[in-house]
Amino acid sequence: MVEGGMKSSLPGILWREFTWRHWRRSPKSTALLVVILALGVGVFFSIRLANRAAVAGFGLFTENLTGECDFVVSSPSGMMREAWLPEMREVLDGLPLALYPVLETTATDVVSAEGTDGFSAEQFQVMGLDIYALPNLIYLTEGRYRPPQELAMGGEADDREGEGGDGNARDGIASRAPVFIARALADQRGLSPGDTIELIFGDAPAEFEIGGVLPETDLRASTPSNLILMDLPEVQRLAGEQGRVQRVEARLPPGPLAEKWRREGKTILEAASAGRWRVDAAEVHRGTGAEMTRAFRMNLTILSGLALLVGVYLILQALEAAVVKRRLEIGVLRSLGVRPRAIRMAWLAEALTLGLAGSFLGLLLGWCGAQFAVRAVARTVNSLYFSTTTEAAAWDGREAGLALFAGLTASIVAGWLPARDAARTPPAQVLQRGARGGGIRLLNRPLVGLALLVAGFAGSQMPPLETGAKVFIPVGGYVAALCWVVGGSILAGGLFRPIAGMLRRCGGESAGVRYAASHLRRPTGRHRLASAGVVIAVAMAAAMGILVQSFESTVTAWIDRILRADLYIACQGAGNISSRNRLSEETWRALAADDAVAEAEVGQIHPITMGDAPVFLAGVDFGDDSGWEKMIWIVEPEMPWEAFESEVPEGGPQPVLINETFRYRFSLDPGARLQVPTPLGAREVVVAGVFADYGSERGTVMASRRAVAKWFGDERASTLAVYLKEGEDAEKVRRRLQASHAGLMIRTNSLLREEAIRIFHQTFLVTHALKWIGVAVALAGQALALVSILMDRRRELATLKEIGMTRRDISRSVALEGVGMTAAGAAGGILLSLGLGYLLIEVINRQSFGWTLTLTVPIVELGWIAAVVIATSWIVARVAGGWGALLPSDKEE
Amino acid sequence: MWCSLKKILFCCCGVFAAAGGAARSEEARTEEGYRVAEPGYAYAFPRDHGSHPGFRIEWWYLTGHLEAEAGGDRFGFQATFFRNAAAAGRRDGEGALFGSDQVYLAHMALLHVDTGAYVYEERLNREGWDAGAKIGYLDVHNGNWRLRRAPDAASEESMVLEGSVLGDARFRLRLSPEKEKVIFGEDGISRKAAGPADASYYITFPRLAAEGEMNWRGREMKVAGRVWMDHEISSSQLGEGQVGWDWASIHLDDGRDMMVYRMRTADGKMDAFSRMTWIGPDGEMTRYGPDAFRWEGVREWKSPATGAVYPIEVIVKGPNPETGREIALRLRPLADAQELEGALGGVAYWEGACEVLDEAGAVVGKAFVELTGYDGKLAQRLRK
Repeated sequence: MVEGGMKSSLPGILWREFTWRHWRRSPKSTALLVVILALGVGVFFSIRLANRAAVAGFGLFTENLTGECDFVVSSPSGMMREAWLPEMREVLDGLPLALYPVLETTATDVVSAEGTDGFSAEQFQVMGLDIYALPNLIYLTEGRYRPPQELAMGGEADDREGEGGDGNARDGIASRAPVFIARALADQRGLSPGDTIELIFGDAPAEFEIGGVLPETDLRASTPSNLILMDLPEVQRLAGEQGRVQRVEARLPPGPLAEKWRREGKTILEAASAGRWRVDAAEVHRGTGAEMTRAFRMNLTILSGLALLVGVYLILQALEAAVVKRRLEIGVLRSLGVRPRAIRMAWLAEALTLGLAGSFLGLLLGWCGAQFAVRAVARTVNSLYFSTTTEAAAWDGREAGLALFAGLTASIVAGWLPARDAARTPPAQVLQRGARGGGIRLLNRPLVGLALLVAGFAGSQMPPLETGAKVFIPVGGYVAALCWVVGGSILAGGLFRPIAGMLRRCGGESAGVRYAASHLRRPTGRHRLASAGVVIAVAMAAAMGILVQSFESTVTAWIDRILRADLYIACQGAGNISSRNRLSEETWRALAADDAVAEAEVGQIHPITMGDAPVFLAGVDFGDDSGWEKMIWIVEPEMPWEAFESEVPEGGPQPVLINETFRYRFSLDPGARLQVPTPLGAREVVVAGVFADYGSERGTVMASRRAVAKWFGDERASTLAVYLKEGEDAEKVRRRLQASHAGLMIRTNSLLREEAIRIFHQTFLVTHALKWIGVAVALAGQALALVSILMDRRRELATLKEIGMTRRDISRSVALEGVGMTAAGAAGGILLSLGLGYLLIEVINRQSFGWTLTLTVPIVELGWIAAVVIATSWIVARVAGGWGALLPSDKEE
Repeated sequence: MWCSLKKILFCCCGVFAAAGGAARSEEARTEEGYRVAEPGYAYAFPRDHGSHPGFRIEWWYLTGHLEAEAGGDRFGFQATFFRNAAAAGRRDGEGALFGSDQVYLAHMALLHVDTGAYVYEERLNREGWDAGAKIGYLDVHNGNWRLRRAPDAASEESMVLEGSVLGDARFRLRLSPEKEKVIFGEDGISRKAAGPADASYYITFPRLAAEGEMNWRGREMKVAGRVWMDHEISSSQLGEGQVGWDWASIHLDDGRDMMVYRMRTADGKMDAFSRMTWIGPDGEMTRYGPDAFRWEGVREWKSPATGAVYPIEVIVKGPNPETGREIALRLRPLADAQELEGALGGVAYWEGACEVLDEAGAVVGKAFVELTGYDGKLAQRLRK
């Protein structure tokens, strides 16, 4: 019945005889179409997945061990005093709230540091938790928690003497200072309890016994391989954070009273904080990672969306070509009385089917691509934002749904105009073979293009949208980019004529040249469409080139100014922004007193929270006036340089400098006073000047190191910049010091510069990949356009052969036409890229990160992009032309 | 002897070695250096209500029956605080918030008699900011659970117990002695086995009047009832060949109380250190050895969680000190499922609220029964 019904229904007939027959007879172009769409969807999907995975790696590392907590108590200064713990228990007055103090630190993996300069050595995220109290989680997680076997009942006791180094021999688990490692790490390295692992805490490498392997629980998918659990007091000692914890995670037992207790507990702790701590829901804490990287991820998503946009153009172009090609069939259908609506539906169904096939293939491609993209994204996130444990991007149903939606929308949008054209075309016209036409009419309307440029300009003037804790999204900038891209691609059609004229002037009387030029002078819609794809791809690639170049030249100039010391010393793994490894006071003082050292500058960095936003507090030695010269000033301080180091009277505001990002995010200017959270309570500071800084987008407050060390009760150093005495060889001194300090990373000035530039380039790795994928999609589309143009012209080509043109002549002529199309697209794209470059630097970047970059146009790179695109199009067009020359006048593909 | 249960539970939590040790009599210390309970000990209070860190093991153990003033809800509860020393003679630095020389385990269980709902929770914490026991007076805590002398009570021996069980219940009870505390054993020590160190200081409040507040699953209520409390201090281990024990504390309506236990040996017999002790209304104690009394299981219950089969309903037969004739008391559980599965301790046991029936079937009192060594793991643990 069903089959019979299908056979007799009009949609069924149209599908079988109209769409399916065509696909069967032209499998290659159908497949190419599907692949192009798949590529667009795939790029979009892979970037979304990679972004999601990189951000998912953030969050409370404890959740990997203990599951989600009910709320988090933390200090805005980054560290809490452990003495607050009994106070919390006291004020809770018997409320059944389990409090888990946590101290996270990092330890460098000696295995991964071997054979490298140590800068990017892998970091273990070390969780300091009270391992005695961990088994209690069995009751707090409804039995879903499983403690490591060695901590649970029945574990073998151990009476060996402690290796803790504090001189107190102790019994049991605490005596071994054991580490508990993830199953993944144990499997990777064949480690088991009782084995040892070498780790660098701070500046000293040491061996640790493996106390056990963390069991997988159903609290979290799997424990990341770089997660290590240790007893809290050991971590305090190893990290030099005695008496301090980072946060307290509060947990409630399951049951009908839990919600009431949660509310009461939060209220009590908030009331007792007196500004010392804040109480946040766990989600707020987890959301920080997403907040911090929102702008970065948004940029990548927009870029990946551009690849999809190029794909839309191409699908549109291909379907439109198919409409033209099958005009005769449409005419016949119309004469047989088939209604325009049925024809439109048939075309839309075709577009949708292609969209479905392309999208599903895209999901597959995207998922595979994400596995590569995630590493690049995660590396950037690790360098710039926070430590993420992500190694693979997991499949995500919602993201897949979004990508599918995007792919289908793209195919419907792309199918809509050709379908309308097909339905509207009168039978008389469609039955006329060879009538010129095709291409969407929008591209023939330069006024629309101009209007879009103006609209884009208006968008670029819009202020950014604040989406949370001092995170700004330049919505207007993105709208402007979209308007300019579409507007530019319309206006680029105007370039065909001059290019045709140029071709004629250069080609003289050659028949092939004149033939190509004549087509370019009167470009069809398809010419315009193919060229528009190239405009977008080239504009995108060139604009990214402008952004990267501007960034690089600005950052290089900045590095030249700030990197003046001979040696830079930090702990192993300092390349990871979340590294908490620091040089002990003893170590840095010894280094500063070395015979070869003339002067040493100590730097201290503390991550703190201000106004819900994570920022840095830097403590530096301001030194003499040469420090002033090292800065790139946005607003020079009016006070003398020495004033930053002079003792501030009790209660008086400490003068500080802020970086440009901080100024932008908090809308502050010199003279403004603000409260900086410290373990001693908030300290008032006054902004004296604003400096340029491209190290992080978080925002930095810079104060005298002496003041910061006092506030934090911490004399350790994050970095030590060393100036050598006259005549000392930096490399020799480096080698000597490195030999005696295995846990340190000592680099010469030139090495550090190279490292900085390497990290910089790594940050743009994904960007580069996306840009070339866009170009590749555009070129594929161009090939498709040429093929359909030649198909349309097959009678004309047959005539050319008859009047004596060889296959080579035809191929060359077609290649010239293709190159002309590409040249129009490339020229339009390069022109458009200047505008987009301006948008990226002055609007999008400034609004996202608050950085001032000097606009630098990389002329050579832009030339290269144009040349590569044109040269590739020459090859593609030659092949297409050669194929076209062999076309019999009645072949369909 | 029920003290041994706590000892084993504690030793099996995996934190400490279960090393035995003979006392060196001249120093009255175990080989590891822990103090040993000695005959003739001069008790002093409130000092001996507090912690004795020189001994290896110590616990404060409360079981009782409560009833709501309005509404008639009835509860049976258990609250236990254990202290275990890691190594003899070691002390954490002054005020250490994350110490490692003492570890505290605690159990709380609550039975809502009318619905049969039974909930329990265990807790393990190191000496420091979230667990500890004061020296010199009663104040022991583990997380939010706390037992301490009442700050404002008329009697110096009144105390306050604050507890909770999961997200189901929270309570605060004021406990006042209705009967003077007693010291079990002879010459100040309670002997557990033949070894010289196998003895404890065993202080008991057989009858404490309890009153306070209870929040049971969102319903606030005033409660009152009667509680048994043990405080035992020792450094000894179990004897060889013991596989488990059964213990009961009994409050009779006529004002008398009884503590009775039988140690079960591997061959199924009652160990020679089993005891039945009557405490008269005036606090006078009458002790009987294993030959004088019997413990007969009359009904079994199989735990669906652990598979252990417990003889949960028992008849205790022994001499009535007032008449000299045999008396039989049937201890009938108020709910079958009162097993503490022991996720932290690794040993499951049944500790349940019971009512006491005489030979005629009349309810004549309330009791708490403890049954251990029925899940097959206890002996296994002991052999480790």
